[in-house]
This record gives sequence, structure tokens and C-alpha cells, in this order.
Amino acid sequence: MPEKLSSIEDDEVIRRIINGEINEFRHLVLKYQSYIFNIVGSHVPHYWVEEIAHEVFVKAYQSLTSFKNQGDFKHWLTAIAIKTCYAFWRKEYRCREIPMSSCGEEERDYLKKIIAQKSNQLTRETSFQQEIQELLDRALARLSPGERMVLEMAYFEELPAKEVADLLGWTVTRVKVCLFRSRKKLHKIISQWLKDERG
Amino acid sequence: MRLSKEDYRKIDKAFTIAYREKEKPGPAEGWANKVMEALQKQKLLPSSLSYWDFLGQLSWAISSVACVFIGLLMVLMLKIDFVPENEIAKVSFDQPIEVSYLEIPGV
Repeated sequence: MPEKLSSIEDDEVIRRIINGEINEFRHLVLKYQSYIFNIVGSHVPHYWVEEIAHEVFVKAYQSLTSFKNQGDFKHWLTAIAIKTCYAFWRKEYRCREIPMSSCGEEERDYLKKIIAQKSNQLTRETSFQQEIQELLDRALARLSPGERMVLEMAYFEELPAKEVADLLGWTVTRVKVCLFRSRKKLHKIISQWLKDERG
Repeated sequence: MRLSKEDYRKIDKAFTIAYREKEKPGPAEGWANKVMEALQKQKLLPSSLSYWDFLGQLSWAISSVACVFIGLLMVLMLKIDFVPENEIAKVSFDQPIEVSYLEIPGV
């Protein structure tokens, strides 16, 4: 019920903004800023979060008239955030060289440590959490922007394929195929890193 | 080093935990003000035009250009002393013998 009430409040605020009360948009920014920072922070490097979140709200404002009670504003805003993150990676991948080099000796050791551990020992308290995050970032950098987004949402965040498809504006089949490929690719990258040791 | 399914499962699990534990920065103080300032600069909310609204606006924009074009065409026709074919036909029917092409105005 509170969720429903909140949605009605949003509709009222949106109606006022469309009628020219621009400052009312501040309510929406303040209400959803933490939520959007959380989403954006999951998908882009931390030093980009502020700028991308800013872009999300500007885009939302610009297309507010097309929202017209399409449903839940939060969901609509989430889709904008996801698409903005996806656009960020597409742009980023065009402008940079993707590192093709293998990982270093140190990183390889961390991978071995993960494998050597018992499955139930792998918790958030793992001593080399930071290093695993760096390894993950390096591996994700080798995937395409689409593969990266799908892997993060459907696999790491465990969102249903339908929801991922809805947020990205893709078909469910495309999401499923992309998820399968990205997981396979991720495993290939890891095995390549460990194989490089012999070479 | 050949990896088993179990090895991949462990790596996946470690990556999932790492992904979820990633530190996410929160909005700094005054961040919302920056967003609002950016929006104030845009001033007006871009309206979403329906197809018919758009067509209406387009026809208004085209009509002024069309009027200028028609005016120019009229001036041009007067300048070259244009005579439409039906007038030539009418003259030649009324005075079939007297009229020669040389007498037909504009020819």
C-alpha cells in the first residue's frame, strides 16, 4: 500500500512539473537520488557515478512528458538509469583500448586461492575481497558492453531475464543468449589467465 | 591448469560476492542543487508532440514558404508574359484564319 501511495504522489508531482512548476522536480531528485546512485554505482566506476546519475535525472526530466502515467515512475527511472549505464560503456569501449594482456602473477595467485578454498569459505569476509573486485573489473572489461550489463544484472544481481529485457529494451531471448555467451566468455578469460602461467 | 566445473563455480561465487560488496558512493551534499541548476538552464520542459500536432505545426511552417513561392511564381509569369494554352486555343477557334502563331501573345 505505501508503494502505491508513493506512486500516486509521484504522479501528482509529475503533473505539476509538466504544468510548468519545474522546481517540483527537486522532490523526485531528493526522493530517488540514493536509489539511482546505488544502481549507477553497481555498473560504472565510482569516479563516474555522480556524472552518470546527473545525466539520468536530466534525461528523465527531458522525457517526463512521454512518461504520462505509463506505470511506476521508479521502474521507468530505473530503465533510464540502466540504459544510461549501457550507453556509457558503449561510448567508453569505443574510445579506449581494451587491455589484451594476461593478468599478473599476483592476480593469478588470487585466482588459485579462490579455487583452493572450500565453497562455504567464500564469503564477504574473504581477506582479499578488494583484489577479487579488481580481477572482476579486468575480466568484465574484456566483455562487450551488452554482455557486461546482462552478466551484472542477470547473474550477479539475479534479476529475472524478463526484467533485464524490460530494462534494457531487449527481447528475453536476446538476454538469455547474451547471458549464456557472457558466462562462457568469462570462464574462457579466467582459464586463459591461468593457462598463461605455463606459457 | 585445467579448471573443473566446481572451480568455475567457486570463481563465480567469489565474483558475485565481490560485485555485491562493491562500494557505491552516495550523493554529495548539494548534488541535487547541481541537477536542478542544470534543469533551470533548460527552462522549458520539451513537450511531447502527438503526430497530428506535429503535422499541424509542419503545415503552418510550410504554408508560409508556399505563399512566398506562389508570389514569386506569379511575378515570374507576369514578367515572361505567360499565356496559358487554353487562351491560345480559344483565340485560334474564334479567329481561325486571321490568327497566326506570330500574333498569339506570348508565343
